[in-house]
Amino acid sequence: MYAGHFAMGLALKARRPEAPTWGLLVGTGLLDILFGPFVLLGIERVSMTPGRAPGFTLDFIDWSHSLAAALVWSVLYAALFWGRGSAIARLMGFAVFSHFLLDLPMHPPDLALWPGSGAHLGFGLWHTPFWWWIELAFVAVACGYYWIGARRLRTFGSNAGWACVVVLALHLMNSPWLSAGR
Amino acid sequence: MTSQGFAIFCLVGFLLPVPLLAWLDRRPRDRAGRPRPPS
Repeated sequence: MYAGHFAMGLALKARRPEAPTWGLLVGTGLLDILFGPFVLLGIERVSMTPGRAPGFTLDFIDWSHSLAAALVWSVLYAALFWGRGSAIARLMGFAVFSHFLLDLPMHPPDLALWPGSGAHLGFGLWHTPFWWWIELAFVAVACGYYWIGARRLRTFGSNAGWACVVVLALHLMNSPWLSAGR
Repeated sequence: MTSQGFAIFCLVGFLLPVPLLAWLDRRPRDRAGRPRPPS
């Protein structure tokens, strides 16, 4: 999942408008933000599979994406926001953990229970022909929730509609028809 | 694309939209402490 994580960040913003938007968006993407440097450092591994959806296999992502790692990163990220109050900190922690929850149905079983665990989770929607439409449905619902909240409260989202357009555009760029390797 | 390139692609792909989305989400001007123009 890609754009769905941004949509989740916006939906959480609508849930608690006093939370910093950048913090929610970084939080919902944090596991993949960590994944990049971890691969570059050789801590995690990915193989490219051009022509075979989704274009790559995640061989070892236990330090960024396992259940236990996601929980640890969530707690650490929440701690960074403790000064803003426990409610904001908890929301930030949930933002990070939401990445695992959203990846769970999409990934093939490559989400370990803990680093090095032999047990892996993942329902594998990525390998079905309709994964993009499922994620689109989630993006639409989450962005709709955000847009309605912004229109109702008018304390955030001065360009909420455009924010939704950007997230939808990101999802379109990640479509099987436009992204390379799919 | 190599795996290293893909890693950088993921990193940039998740960081780059953040400032844009945060800017689009900013507080509406009439609620940001500025006076409304006279009607």
